[in-house]
Amino acid sequence: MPQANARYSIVVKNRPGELAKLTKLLSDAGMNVSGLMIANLGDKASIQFAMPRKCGRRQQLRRAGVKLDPE
Amino acid sequence: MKRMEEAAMRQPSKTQYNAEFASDPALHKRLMRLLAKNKIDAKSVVTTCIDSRTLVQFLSPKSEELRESLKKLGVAVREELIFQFEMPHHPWELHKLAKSLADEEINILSLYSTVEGEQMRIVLAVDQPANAMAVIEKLGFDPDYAIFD
Repeated sequence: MPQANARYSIVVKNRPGELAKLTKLLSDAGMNVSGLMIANLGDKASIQFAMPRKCGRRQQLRRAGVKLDPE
Repeated sequence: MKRMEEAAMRQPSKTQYNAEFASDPALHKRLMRLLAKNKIDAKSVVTTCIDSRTLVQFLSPKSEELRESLKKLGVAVREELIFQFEMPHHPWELHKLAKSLADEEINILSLYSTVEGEQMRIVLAVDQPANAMAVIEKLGFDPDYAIFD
């Protein structure tokens, strides 16, 4: 059975380099995304990413330095 | 470089439409009806809300008629040139891509990805498409303006 994914999102400034900050944190923590979506709205951008659902994932992301949007 | 030039010469198969408006469920409903009437593939439609603004993005062959219909609804319409490529599905590869674009001051306007086995397919719109294609080609990937479903 395929593993279920959970979606996480962050809002960042709409400028070059913001995705690289996120991917650096994720790659340093050895975490891989199973889906990624970016949309820009004015001076902000929404980055949404999916990862296999796992207990404690949000805490793991926070420990890696990812500032998630509140649920 | 030759592959990039060949890819750039091909006619883009699809345009990404961005319809932006102050968040309003009634307007969103009218927009969805318009997309259905124009037979827009629901799989290509993405809605994002930030603060009080809503952005609906979708893929379609370029159409002046569609653009006019969207404007008549009262939404701000923006079109973006998109291209796609595949890369290994690995966190470091994704970071190499993001860092390489950032190093060239290329801003990502939109990005979607799907994972197929060991590969990640990326559909991307940026503020400097030609430069981005050069960067992506330098990383060893094969960008193409032809978008398949």
